[in-house]
Amino acid sequence: MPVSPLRSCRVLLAVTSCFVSASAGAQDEWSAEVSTSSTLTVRGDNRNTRPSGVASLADDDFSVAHNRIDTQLARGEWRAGLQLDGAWYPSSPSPERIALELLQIENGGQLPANYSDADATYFLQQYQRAGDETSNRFRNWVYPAKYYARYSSRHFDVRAGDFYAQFGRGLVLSVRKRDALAGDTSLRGLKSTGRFRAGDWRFALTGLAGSGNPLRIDTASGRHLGTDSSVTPGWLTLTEAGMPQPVGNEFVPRPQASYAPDQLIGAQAEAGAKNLRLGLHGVRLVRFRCDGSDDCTDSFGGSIARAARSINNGSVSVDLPHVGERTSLYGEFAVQSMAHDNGVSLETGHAAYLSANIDLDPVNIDIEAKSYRRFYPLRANIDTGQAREFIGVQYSTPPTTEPVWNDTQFESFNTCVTGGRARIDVSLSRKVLSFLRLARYNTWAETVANESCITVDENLNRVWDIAVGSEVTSDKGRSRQVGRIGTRLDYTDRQMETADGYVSQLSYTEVYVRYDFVRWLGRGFSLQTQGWHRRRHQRLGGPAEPWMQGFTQTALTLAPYGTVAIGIEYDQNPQFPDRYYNASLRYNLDSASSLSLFVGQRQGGLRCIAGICRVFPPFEGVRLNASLRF
Amino acid sequence: MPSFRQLVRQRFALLMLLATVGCGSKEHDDIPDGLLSAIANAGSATTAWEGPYGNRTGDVIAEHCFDGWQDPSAAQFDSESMSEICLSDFYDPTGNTSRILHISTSAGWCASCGTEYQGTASRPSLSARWQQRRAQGFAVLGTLFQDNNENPATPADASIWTELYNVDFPFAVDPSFQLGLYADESVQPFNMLIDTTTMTIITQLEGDNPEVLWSAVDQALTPN
Repeated sequence: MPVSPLRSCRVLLAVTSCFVSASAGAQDEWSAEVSTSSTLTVRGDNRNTRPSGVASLADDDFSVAHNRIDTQLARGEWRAGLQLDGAWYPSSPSPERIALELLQIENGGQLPANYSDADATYFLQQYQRAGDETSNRFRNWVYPAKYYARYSSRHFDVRAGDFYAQFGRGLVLSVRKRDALAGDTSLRGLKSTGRFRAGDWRFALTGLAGSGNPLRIDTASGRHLGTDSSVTPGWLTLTEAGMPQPVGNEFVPRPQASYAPDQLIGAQAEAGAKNLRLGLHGVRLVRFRCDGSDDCTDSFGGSIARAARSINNGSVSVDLPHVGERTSLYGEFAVQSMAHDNGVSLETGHAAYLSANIDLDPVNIDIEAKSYRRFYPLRANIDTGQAREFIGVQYSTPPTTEPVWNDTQFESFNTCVTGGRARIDVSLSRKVLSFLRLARYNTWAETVANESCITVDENLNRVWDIAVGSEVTSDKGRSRQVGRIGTRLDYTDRQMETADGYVSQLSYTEVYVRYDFVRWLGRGFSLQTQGWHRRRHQRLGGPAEPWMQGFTQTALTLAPYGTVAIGIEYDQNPQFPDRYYNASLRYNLDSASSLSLFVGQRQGGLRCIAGICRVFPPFEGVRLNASLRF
Repeated sequence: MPSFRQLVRQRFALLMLLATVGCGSKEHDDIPDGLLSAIANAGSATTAWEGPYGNRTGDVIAEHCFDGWQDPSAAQFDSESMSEICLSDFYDPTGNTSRILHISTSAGWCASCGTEYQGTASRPSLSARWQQRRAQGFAVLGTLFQDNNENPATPADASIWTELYNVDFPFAVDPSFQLGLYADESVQPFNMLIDTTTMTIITQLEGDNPEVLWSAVDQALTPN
């Protein structure tokens, strides 16, 4: 619900007092835990302003206080929880200010003495755009982000409300928290698991049904996802009760939902013996369907997965934890079918994933391989035109086989790909480990839109990724030095021509160094330096010349009290500011509570975790956080 | 007696809660009187079709005018020969000449935009798609709003773009990014289908998704 500051104050204080009282006065059989995370962020000019760039000004000069209160109650086999999220914006950019500033830029840095017809027209265009851009940003909300009740015993587990779930390795279903991307998607509905034994075999059967429930407020942009009655028929009225809604303003008199909750139903059967585990996994995603009314939009996105009426995912998995004494194997094969209403016809997609570990002490080898054809993540039905910050919300995560921090699988790289990665660790002594990472991929969907996954050379990108490094530990494990140097080479089989006439097969190349050094200084002190320095070159879709990008951060920690850190970031890509400086301080009140302060600048751009990516705007300002547990 | 840590913890929690829900006011900058006068004096252009206008699927699109060419190829991509192109050029309430308008926005830095125009071995170019369907009342308006470095596109940039991809359908330069009202610059290419008999937005697609886009086009062109 939209709330006034005063009302939200009362609600939050009342809720907090109530839960804290419950915790203090708890009877023996009850346990209660309350934690809060409160963040006050004041953003200044993040230096990304562009001529006629409404969005580049809408992310400047606003402040947000974000509060999260999480309560957990437990008694015996029963548990319940509620997470309330709230955001309040003390200040935010107005459409007038954005349009005036753009007019100023258009006129060489200052407003004209006399306004022409062209000025008036330009101002009105930008004013309308700014009004539309801010219509679903900077709204005060308090809403029940997550809640659940759970009964759990040795043989049976049932949970109503919000739950996370992953089937197999995430090819079929994976809904979970992703803090680094400010994402937390769950399903809201019912999940139950039964477990039983028959001889040497153990069985587990899981069934679930629910609607997708991503976080509705993106604190980095102040944008919220809104649902309304036009997209929440039937039982979705219940699951969406109290959630943020679309709100109009003078620029958007007929606001529309930016999210139509997807309905998912799934089942998993697992059987395991000592050296063998088998799994059968299936999920069906069904999109909301319009009832034919004029104000109803039922498919928001343009991507082939987002435009699908329904998607069926199914897979079988085999896990062999002990093949002989030194080897473990995991394999999963999945199929995917989609149904569209508008004439799109796509062949059934499939995905094969394999991982193996071979322990040849002192050498350890990890191998991951994949072959995906027309296999798409289950994208949430989000109107990316209204809420682009939520573009990464999805309910499955096919493994990338790359490091989780990899951000160079561009476009639809992982939907039509064959390849894999080997990690070879060699223990030179108890304290010294050297490693080699070697990856090779062929993808047919990185530099061309190739929804049908046509595997002709014309669409092909050949990718090599190689890294070597070492890890040294000392001081009984309290000091650790990890460093690696690597390169990525990504070339097309065809000649590509850029808009400025440059012809090349180079898609992307990079050479990088990553390091993380922790040095124990004694008496609780340790010094840590982390960094990532990259020389990047992306001829098509990037700057014309190679550029350097990276960061280094140095932190002094006094255990268990806290940490003080300074950081320097840089980016020679001419599209972004070139230097960023920041400092941060963290004070641990106890093992579960802390205060932290960040002051300064941080570069924006694409940030990826396990193949899910989103673009963050640069940050410039102050962020104060208190995370407390009672 | 609470410890210093406990005091900090208690007081800070309260402060943060108050900060979360405290008082504040939104900024509203005043529009200069001179600009208001200019807006009033500029009047409003008459639009051939009726509103109310909006920017979402199902809304009626407002009038927009740009500098461009009806046929860049015929004009030899000469930026000096640009003239005004308006959406009203495509408005056809009878549906005799034009039934569906495909608006495609691009930027010089957008690799997928170039692929959409150029096509691949397994994918026709935008021009070829247009030629295949133009007899059915299908029209295309391409626009370029930024250059390679995210600066507003110039007529010279439009010349380079259209010559590179040998564009022969209507094309315009949109330096003030008027069409940003329909999709943010970060989700390019952006494709929008307009029913030219009513100027109603029937489809909006962010990103390069040819299967979805051209199925929607063909469905829109199929007689009911």
